[in-house]
Amino acid sequence: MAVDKAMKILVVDDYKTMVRIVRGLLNQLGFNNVDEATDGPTALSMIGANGYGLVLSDWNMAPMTGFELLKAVRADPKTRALPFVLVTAEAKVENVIAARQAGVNSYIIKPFTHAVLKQKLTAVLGEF
Amino acid sequence: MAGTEGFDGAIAAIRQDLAAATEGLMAVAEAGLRDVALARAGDGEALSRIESGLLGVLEACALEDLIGQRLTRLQAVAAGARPEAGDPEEEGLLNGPAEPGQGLGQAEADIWLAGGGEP
Repeated sequence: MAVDKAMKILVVDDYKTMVRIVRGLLNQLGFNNVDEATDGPTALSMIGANGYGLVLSDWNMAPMTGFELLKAVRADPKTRALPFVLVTAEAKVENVIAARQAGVNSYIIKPFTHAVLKQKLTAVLGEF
Repeated sequence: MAGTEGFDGAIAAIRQDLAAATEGLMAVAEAGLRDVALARAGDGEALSRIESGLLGVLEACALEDLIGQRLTRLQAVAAGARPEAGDPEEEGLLNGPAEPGQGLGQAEADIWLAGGGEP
């Protein structure tokens, strides 16, 4: 099935510059329907209220980390299957294993390039 | 001293991040200026190269986030504090950017995410 580039995407990061970067790179890839949140609780509320096709989230945020956000999304039957990508500077094996066990779809290590973003989104969503 | 090592390591990493981002931005600017001249001379591919370079600038701006996280860790080191995870499952997982030469690269992370890697 072709990827719907009009899908709603949520970008979550407590650094607004990083949100702008991810939004800019998504726009370059043809995804222009992008919402943003700078903390986990707000993101969780937005996820519950909107039909997002993808979430891209940082890990190290307060008061709710991206890892906690991922687990909350996976715990809700309505959002359990929502594609969720962690975009993070956390680069230990233990982080990737924990994220995998929590049900993350992909794991992007900062800093990253637009080519890596495209590769990972293709793997999660399909060719576009 | 352990405290000094953590502090010095973080400082060294910040210097390296700044140098790498500066080099990247300068390379894009230098190549872009050459491509502007080439575009004016009729090079049809020059605009694509300029676009690619500008994407590189966008990517380099992640510097602010990475240095910000390193500075947060420096503050914690200076205060003798360690990041606390609210979720017990995250104990030891909130470390911020790895120091140069440490931490997984994207290819290694992909292997571990796919369930590979060493047992």
